[in-house]
Amino acid sequence: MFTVHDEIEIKKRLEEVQDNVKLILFTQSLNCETCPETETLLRALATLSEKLTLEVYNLHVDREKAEQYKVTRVPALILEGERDYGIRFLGMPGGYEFASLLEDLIAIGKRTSGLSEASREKIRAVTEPVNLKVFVTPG
Amino acid sequence: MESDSITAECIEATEFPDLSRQYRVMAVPRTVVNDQTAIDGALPEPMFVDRILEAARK
Repeated sequence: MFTVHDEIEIKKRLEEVQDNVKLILFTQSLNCETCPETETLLRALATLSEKLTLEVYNLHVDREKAEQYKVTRVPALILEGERDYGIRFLGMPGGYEFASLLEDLIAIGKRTSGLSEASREKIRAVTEPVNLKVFVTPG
Repeated sequence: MESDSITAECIEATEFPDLSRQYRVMAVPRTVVNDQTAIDGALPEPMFVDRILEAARK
């Protein structure tokens, strides 16, 4: 899946990960073109660091899990550190999105968002629920 | 990560055309706050945080 060069690079970056990160992937067998590719990609990624674990669930078979994580679309990837932070990736994380995924894994693995202190203060003052949907393309 | 009340979904637009249509996604990145306010483009962190929180208060 990754070239030898990619693997070396990614492994190097993942050395920054100090704490365990759980990748939870939901897929389905039919009507999901990118599910197989996404699973293959994430399985390959998870082998590149001992701190990463991958759990794969089926949207329909593992209905309770899907409800727990509020997943309705697939492929859906949840990243967990010490808890579910509410971070989701919908669709195959390719291209630039893969770079974002890697950044997130490292942030979670270091248990730090990497945001400025000023940003953190503003965010901590938020009490009402805020949902962000960020639309991207792999190109 | 900084807040328990904030959730963030990164959505691959071409794989979910119905969502892209629903949120009128023409160019990416487009960030939609609370299914209501769209912020287009990649902004510097302080500006992005301000715009998001402003949108969240509506």
